[in-house]
Amino acid sequence: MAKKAKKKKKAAKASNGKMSMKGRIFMIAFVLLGLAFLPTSMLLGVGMLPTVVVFFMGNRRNGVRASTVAAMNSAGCIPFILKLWAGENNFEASMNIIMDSQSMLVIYVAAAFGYMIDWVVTGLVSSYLYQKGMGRMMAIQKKQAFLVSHWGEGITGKSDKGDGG
Amino acid sequence: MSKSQSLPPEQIAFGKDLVIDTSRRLPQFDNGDALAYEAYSARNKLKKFVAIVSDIENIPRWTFAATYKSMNDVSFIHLVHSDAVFWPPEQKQKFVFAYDGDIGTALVAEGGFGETSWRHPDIVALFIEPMARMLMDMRDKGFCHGSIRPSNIFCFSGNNTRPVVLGDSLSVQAGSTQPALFLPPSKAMTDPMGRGLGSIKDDIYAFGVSLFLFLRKNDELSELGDEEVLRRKVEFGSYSTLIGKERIQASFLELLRGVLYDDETQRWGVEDIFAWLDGVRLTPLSLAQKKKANRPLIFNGKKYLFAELLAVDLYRNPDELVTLLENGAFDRWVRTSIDSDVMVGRYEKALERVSSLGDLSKNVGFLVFHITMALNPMLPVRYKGLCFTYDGFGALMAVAAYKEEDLGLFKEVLNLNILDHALISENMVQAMMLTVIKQYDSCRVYLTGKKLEQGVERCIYTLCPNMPCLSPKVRGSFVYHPKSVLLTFEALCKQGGQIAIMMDKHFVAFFAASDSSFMNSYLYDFNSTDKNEKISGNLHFMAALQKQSQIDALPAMAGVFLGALSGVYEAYKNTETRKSVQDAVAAAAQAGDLVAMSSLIDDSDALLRDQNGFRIATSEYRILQNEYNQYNKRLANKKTYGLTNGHDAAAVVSWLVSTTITVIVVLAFISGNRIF
Repeated sequence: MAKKAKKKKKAAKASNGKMSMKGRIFMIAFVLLGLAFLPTSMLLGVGMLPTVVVFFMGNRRNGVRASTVAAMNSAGCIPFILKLWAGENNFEASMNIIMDSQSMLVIYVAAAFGYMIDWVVTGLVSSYLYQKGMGRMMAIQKKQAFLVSHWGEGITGKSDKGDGG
Repeated sequence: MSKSQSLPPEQIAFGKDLVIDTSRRLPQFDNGDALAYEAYSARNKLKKFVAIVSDIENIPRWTFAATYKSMNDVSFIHLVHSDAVFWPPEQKQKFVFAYDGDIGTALVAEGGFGETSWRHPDIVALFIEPMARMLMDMRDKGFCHGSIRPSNIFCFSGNNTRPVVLGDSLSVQAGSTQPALFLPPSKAMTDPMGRGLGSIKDDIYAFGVSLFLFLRKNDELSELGDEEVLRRKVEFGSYSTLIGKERIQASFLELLRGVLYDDETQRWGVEDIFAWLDGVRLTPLSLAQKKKANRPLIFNGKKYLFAELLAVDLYRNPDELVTLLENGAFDRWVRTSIDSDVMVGRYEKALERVSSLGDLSKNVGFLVFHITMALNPMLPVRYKGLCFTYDGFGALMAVAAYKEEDLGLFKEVLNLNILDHALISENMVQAMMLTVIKQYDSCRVYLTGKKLEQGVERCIYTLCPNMPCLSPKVRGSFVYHPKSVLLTFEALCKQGGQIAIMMDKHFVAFFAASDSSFMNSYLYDFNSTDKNEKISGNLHFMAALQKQSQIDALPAMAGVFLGALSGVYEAYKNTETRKSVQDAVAAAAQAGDLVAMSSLIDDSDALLRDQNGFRIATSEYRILQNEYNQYNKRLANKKTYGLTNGHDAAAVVSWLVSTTITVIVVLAFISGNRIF
């Protein structure tokens, strides 16, 4: 009970918009790392914009879709990060990649591909699950009809006729 | 069957090998309305029997047949067979007692009081001794003959070595066919069917009167009517009335005085008669003296000096009795003219009971009954035209029910506790009296009860155990034991139009009265409001009777039940089990086996298995229904169903593709091949 209460308190705090201590430390570490690797951070910041957009688009439950897009988006960023790291790895080199329309097109097409994966796979899976559910409903009805044929309407609880036992 | 088919129409097969010839009457063996016919053995036509045929309204005493057969004395007419039989002349069943026909001729023709050729010593050897032995036998077996009179005593004329034979008694209620002369005054004035079950004391009295008729030399009594003889018996006592001026040998007078004594408690018993036969001189009984009033009471135009005699006539003018009570004349006569504290005590109690109903004129019948009992407690109950003894009420009511008369008066007698008051005047052992009072209490409860085994029907069979079932369904049949019930219903079912609910109020009451413990287990079903329970109850009961009666097949009854069991099978929930039970019941019905049908529809093990299966199936159905409802709810919106799972799957696919691409890019980069 005490644990549940604590969890509730935490959830309440999160809903108030205040960050926890762990989150704060994580954020500070993230900012410091970003500053330490500024050229890479810049490239990722601009390259991963589609993921950020998907994350904030629609409702908060789009986290999974953002993850899908992020996976492909990051795959698009990897070659250019490696290129940056293999070169001078400074602010100017990072800006050159960012300003290169071909590079950004590759990164954003990869992100779009991620979005496409989400759309196609989700459609396929939900359709499959729907059909499976319908099939189960049919099987239940069949089984119930079998039971009624063997034991009469009484087992449905709708008729008093056969429920005399 | 073949035997009866080969007989001429006027002859009826009876029992195993008897044939009754309805065209050959034997009036000398008649017992009242129970008429005698000649019967013969189918094996030997020379062997003759007497078949005494009795209708329901005579209430033949079939319950005593076994007791009668157990009598050892040869002077009892030998009972060969008794049963109900279809009587073609009247197109209904009657009850027949077949006796051995070799019994000689009646001592005296019915209604005549002729003399016999016996001399005095012969009377002792040929009449008194065998009668004493028979009386002892009857006393020991608890049986009352109730028809001892010269016209029912037979002898072989010219053969003084064979003792007399006592004729039929079972075909009628005890004492119901006795002329008033042969009955003590307390019973002589009752309705013939209201004389009660009878007792050995009544038989001793009848023996005494019969003996007197053999001994007398003059016939003074035939000049007097029954009523006058009765009045004299009440006024002077039976002994004095009968003997009168007759000159009879002194030793016989002692016997007659003892056996004709009006007070039952002091009347000689069987032991006293044997003591007399042995020559023992018993203390002579003094004749009871009635208290004479010092002035007469004028009632109904007559002067009365004896309260006992007035009691006999009170019912003749009840309105005058009310007037005499209201103006105080009756009260003064009882209190001052008759010097009897006991009678005044009874009179005061009677007034107390009558006043409980309010105004004297409100129920004159109740008033007459109580005042009569107060003045002469020996008299039978008189109530609004009915006259009966405490144990004769049942037979009287049963006959009224058979004749489809209104039973309101009988219900009134029960509800007003009249029988209980009448019982108090009887000299009965307390334990016995309590049993009888308990029976009356039960009857009052039955009258108000609404259940099938209650009602006035139950009172009839409780108070008159010899009455066969009076159900309108079996009108014209003599239904008196399980076998006759089954055979009657089988015949009715063969005719068609019968329904499976065979047990009506009469049948249930009849069996409940005769064997309540056997009946109790079926009463729940009989009283059920559910038609199927009633039908199955009827089948179970009839099956029990079939088993008890050992009747092999009752196909017509089984067919009627089979047609009505469709609802009963629903006790089995499983359709396969139900079908198999139905098939098995149909096969049993074809064989006429009600017992098998009954056990099949009510197989407790199978029913338990079926009910358990039904419970499991019901639970399974509910679980499936819940699952169905959940699917139905979730699948209601096709667009959103499975999206979460879809997104998750997409994420997995995307990360797999991403990882693959990343690995390829990294490997290409390490190997020095640049993609971009």
